[in-house]
Amino acid sequence: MNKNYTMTYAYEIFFFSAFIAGIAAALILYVHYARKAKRAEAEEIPFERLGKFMVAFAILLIVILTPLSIDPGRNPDPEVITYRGSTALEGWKVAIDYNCMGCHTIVGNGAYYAPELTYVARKAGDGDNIKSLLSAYAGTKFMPFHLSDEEIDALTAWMLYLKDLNTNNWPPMKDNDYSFASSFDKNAVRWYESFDAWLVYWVLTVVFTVFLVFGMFYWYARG
Amino acid sequence: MPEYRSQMLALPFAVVALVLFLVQLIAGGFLAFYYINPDLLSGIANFNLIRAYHLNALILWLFSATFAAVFYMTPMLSKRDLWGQGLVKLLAVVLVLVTIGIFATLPVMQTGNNIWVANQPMLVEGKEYVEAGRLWDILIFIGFMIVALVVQKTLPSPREWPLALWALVIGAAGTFLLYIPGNLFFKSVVTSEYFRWWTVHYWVEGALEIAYAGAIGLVLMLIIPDPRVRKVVDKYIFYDVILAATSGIVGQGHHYFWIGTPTFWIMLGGVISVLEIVPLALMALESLKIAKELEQPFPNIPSLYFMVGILIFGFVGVSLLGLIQTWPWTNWWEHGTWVTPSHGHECMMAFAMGAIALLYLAIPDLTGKPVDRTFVSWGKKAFWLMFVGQIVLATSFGLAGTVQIYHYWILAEPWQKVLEARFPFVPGIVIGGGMVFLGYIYLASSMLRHLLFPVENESYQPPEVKRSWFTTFEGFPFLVVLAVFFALIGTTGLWSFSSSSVLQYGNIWIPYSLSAVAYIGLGIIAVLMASKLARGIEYGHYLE
Ligand code: HEC
Repeated sequence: MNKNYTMTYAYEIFFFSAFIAGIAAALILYVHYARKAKRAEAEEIPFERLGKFMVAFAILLIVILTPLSIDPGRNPDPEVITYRGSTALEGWKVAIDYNCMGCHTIVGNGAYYAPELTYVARKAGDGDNIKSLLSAYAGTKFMPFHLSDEEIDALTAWMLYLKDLNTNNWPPMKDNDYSFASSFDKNAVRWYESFDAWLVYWVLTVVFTVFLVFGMFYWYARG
Repeated sequence: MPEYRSQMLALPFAVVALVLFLVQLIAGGFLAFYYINPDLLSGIANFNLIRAYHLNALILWLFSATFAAVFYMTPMLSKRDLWGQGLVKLLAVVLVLVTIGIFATLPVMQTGNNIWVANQPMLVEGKEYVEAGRLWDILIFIGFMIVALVVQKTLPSPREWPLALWALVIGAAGTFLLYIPGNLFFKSVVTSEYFRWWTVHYWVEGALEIAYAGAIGLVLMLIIPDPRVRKVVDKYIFYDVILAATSGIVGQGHHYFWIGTPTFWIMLGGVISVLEIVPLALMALESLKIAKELEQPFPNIPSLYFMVGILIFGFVGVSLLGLIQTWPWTNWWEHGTWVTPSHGHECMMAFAMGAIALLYLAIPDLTGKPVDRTFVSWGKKAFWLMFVGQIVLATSFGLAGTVQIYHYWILAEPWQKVLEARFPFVPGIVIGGGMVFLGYIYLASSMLRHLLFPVENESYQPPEVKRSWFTTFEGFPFLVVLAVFFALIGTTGLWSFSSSSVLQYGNIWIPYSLSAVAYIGLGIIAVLMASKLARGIEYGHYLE
């Protein structure tokens, strides 16, 4: 096992134990404060500390999840994917220069005036097809700006990169059975993305939800 | 004249906000026009350029209105004039220059002549909501620093702050800080999108929500000087902030389903973002309690209406239209279609109404003129036109999006066909947008008239209006529950796209009719709720 793996595992174990410890602590505090609030005078704000704790917990959670979310192992490297010598990274810069996102969506985000680019790339399949689409549309009334040949190559590389993003099967296509649910194991890169880990998430999240909803309405009922 | 002379410094910011709001609406009109005739402007001002104006004008005018509110309220709270008034004047100049700078450099996206320094884009950043170049971001950030410094130097020691002020300060500081991550350039599209949502989502669901809750709380405390108010407001602010923050921070996950981030977000985001409806539902219910507990007539009716607008759009637009599309099973279908902007437009309108409510409140005080009848009647017209207009627009987007799902994802039609399928709903968007625009005319003219011309001497007194179901709180909690029910119908509608009934047998009427019932029903409920709340308080019908 090399050092990187050890680090990753340590990290993942920390992440899970933090999550479980957080939920457990929240529950204990909740019970404690629920009992205390029953006795408390109406003057003070019940659950003040619990509320602050919940916010702190949510912030901690997002801090822990951030490095896992941008995990470079999950998606292709934009500097490695190339088309005729241009890298996807160069294409991404061209895409920013021309603000493709102001007309198209990219992984579903952006404007809805033109087709979704990840989808276009998946349907086109290979670089040459993508390039011919780009050459066909650039400079037309749909896309009234000039793209040089190099820019088109770079954009093609970038769209090949979009095509290979691990998007949990989105967008809906016949090829993926119109289902993201079948992708859990197929798209899992780390163990915490596998279907087994999902069962753990289910339990944890249901606990979290019950706790929050119940707590909120309890707060409200108390006025 | 206001109590403190330096409060007048809020005025230029208010005017800038009004002008930029107009720019935003005009840009929106051109965007709609693109769907009617795509050829006319193409090559002169491309769709993406106009859309960048639409979004950046919005962001800038919300900033400007927030600055106005801050400079108006800070002296009242600290009971002395603003510190560093020269800096505030400088800020006004910087704001205008930055706005001009942004608008002048955005067209670079039509030629691709962007400038890159140290791997960061300087003139155009080319990502939704953060199109403005890095050059301008730096200036905007310096502007934020000025506001922070002025406020910090003017306010008394934090130990004396009421909770509402804490909320406003935390919210405002959050808005400033969260502007950074979304702007950075990352090599990976995934990382870049991941952090762009920190700006966009945490603004709406976190910082702005908290800031506006705080601002409204402060407003209530300032206009109704009763020690009971502070207690009620404190409690309300506390719950709102805690609930919004807890569900909103992890609820972020609904943006991370399909952008290349790990699958655990489907679970976390799916479940926890559903909880985001709780704080907003409670806020709507809480407002009844506050009104009942205070038993005071509200002195500024236009502002009251727009505050009600935040509550109702917060509940129906932000949380329920959001609920329809936040489940992974429905988001899977609606992501990347026109269903999304139906929610987005009502969300942003909620904040716009917050800013407008604060402007309406500040202006009579700054001019020292009474809140006269014309001011109120134009203000109310502005509210209803904007409110109903935005609902019409959002409904059209939602229905068109549902049609788009079928034609684009399931039939996999070419894009021109998809545009054709969406086209029947474009008139709805145009009509809704037109109503909002008319509302703006009333809004701007009521304010300009108050600023520039003499007004009637008498303050507006609400007429005696007979009690009816439409002007009392009766049944309001039931409407809240009913609205959630309609949102669940909408959820079922989108989810039914996954059923074999639609996929295999093509029973497309199922999702279509469920969506129609949900969107139209939610629109009607929103109008009823606004009528009961706003008119109920105006006419005093909530008093027993
Ligand atoms: C002014 C708006 C606009 C901008 C900016 C824009 N596009 Fe387009 N794009 C369109 C329109 C409109 C179409 C035509 C869709 C159709 O009718 O098939 C299109 C079509 C395409 C197609 C072919 C899609 C297909 O399915 O046939 C690709 C690929 C594409 N654009 C890529 C890009 C890239 C990459 C960028 C950024 C450099 C970009 N576009 C910027 C509006 C735009």
